[in-house]
Amino acid sequence: MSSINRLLTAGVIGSLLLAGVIIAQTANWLLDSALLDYMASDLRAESRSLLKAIRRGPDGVVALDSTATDPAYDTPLSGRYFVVTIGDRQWRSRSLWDEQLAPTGPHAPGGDLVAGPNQQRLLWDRTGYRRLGESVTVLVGVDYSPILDDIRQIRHLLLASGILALILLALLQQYLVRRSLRPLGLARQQIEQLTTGTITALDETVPRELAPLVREINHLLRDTQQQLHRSRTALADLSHALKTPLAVLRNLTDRDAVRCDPALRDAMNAQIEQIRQRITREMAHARTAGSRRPDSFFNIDTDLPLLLDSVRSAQRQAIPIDTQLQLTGQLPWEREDLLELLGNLLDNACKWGRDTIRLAIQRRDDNLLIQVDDDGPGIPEAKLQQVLERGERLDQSVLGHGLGLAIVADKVAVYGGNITFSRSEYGGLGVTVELPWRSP
Amino acid sequence: MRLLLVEDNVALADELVPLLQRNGYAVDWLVDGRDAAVQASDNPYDIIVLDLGLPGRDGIEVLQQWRASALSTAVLVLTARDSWADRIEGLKAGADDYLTKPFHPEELVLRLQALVRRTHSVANQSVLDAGGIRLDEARQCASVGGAPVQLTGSEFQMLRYFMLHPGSLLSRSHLAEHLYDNERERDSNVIEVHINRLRRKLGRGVIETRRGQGYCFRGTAE
Repeated sequence: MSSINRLLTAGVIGSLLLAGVIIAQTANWLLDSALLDYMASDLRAESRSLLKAIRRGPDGVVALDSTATDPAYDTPLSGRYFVVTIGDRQWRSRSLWDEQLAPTGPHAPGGDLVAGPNQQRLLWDRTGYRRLGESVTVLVGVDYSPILDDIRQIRHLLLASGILALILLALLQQYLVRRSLRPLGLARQQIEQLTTGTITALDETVPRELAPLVREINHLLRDTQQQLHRSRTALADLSHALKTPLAVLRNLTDRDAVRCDPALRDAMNAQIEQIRQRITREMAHARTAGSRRPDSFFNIDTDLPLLLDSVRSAQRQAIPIDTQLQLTGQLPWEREDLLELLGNLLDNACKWGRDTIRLAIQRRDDNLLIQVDDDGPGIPEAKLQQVLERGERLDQSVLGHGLGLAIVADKVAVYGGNITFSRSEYGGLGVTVELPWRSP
Repeated sequence: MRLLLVEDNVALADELVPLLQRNGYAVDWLVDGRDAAVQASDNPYDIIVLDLGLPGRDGIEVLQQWRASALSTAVLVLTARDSWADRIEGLKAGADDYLTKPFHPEELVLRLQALVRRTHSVANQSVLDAGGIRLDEARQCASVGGAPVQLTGSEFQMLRYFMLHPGSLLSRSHLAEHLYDNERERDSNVIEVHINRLRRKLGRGVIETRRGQGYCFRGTAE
């Protein structure tokens, strides 16, 4: 996976390194050649001053007057040397001591160095002159190694400071990258909150570069929400619009013309019932919100009593519902979803139960545990097994036991929970719903 | 028994009005929520069947307004909104019962019967029993001491009203208001005629006349 951080770091460090190397090399070469040029002209001047020290002696012989030369030539191994050749006579500077100064190869001023005495590296110049009618060759050498040492030191210093600068720059750059990527991290956290429904839009106070992206996401979000809202409304409208004609149809089956043909009446009623169940189930599924906005959470203290009232009023004979609640206040689930879930469970229990219905709500480990038990006929053992084997999916075979259970199973699936059926301790059906606890 | 039906679907109302009339209710039918809000307060209805998705004004709002103005008439909400949250909403707004569409016609009739009895604090039983007379609402016939008595629709309607208000003094105009819908001519002679027919079938002392005041159900026991 590509990383913006890695890419930026590699880019910055790489280009800094390249620029550093080029600058260092150029500076090094410029320094070197300037020094060599300077030394070469110095050597030429030295060579000429030695030429001036060649005089005709009182004996009429042309010789080098060693008293007129630079005192540095008299100090042994001083780093300044000469060899003057006049005809077949040769004068060597005292500083040479026992060493030879005999460079070979083509002469290049400021060019090749020769090994001198005492591991010195000598820069040399050999020039031929004519003086006082004699052919004179002046060879001068100067120790270049102190300057080489200086250059080496400068190079080391440059390298060290370059590396230090590079490290500092890399750290600074890391800091800047982290800092400028931080809004991205925040946006990511907010998007996470979006999916859980804690917030409805991203914060738009972000750096200018990120703002268009955030605005686009918000825009997309609004569009999607509107679309979802439209779809839900359309579905609700459709389902409501269908139910009234279905009610008309069902009333029509009560007419004498249909009444006198029981087979026809049953067939019509069966079809109407199928349509009704289908609409109700899909509607309940589409309504499942799954969001986590605390203002729309289920409140066990205020919502449950109303629900119990409404379940009781939905049944013509009211069976008392024994409630065992180990939780109070808000539960982190959408109010409508839990109402639907509990309502259908209790309604089913009331439909089949005779005298006893028990509702237990508790938290066990990381689950919300809802148990509803009744003393009705329950689901026959064979069918119960069938339901259990197929997992949470209920189909038409048990729909006789209530469309409600199918709706409950759908809701439970949306919340990633479990539904299990058993024989209750009262002999009827026991339904256990487990929903993974959500952090609000 | 005066019943106000508020339902905006004409086809459904066309089925419901005769169904309710057959079951002994004097039915007024309204389509618009705003009309319903006013008319329920102006007329002495015994029971109201209210749809929620109404033109003009939502049924829940209408119901809230009724309850806010201390109208205590029993209301059965008849709606396509079938989620439990909607049911709770309906009960909170003041509905006495909540039935979702599509429904079985018998279910509606049974729930209305139960609701009427509940508002008159009569025990939840399948037959209405008062003053030695048993009235089978499903078959619309009475029995006195085990002997069945056939009744016409109007007679059934009137007898049921008397039996729901045993011992109460009911004026002629009160009876007219509660037994006939707004469309019907309220001729006090008609009431007299029906009362006389009931007396002939069930015994003279069943309904007592209090001159200038009205009628009172006494039953056959006295």
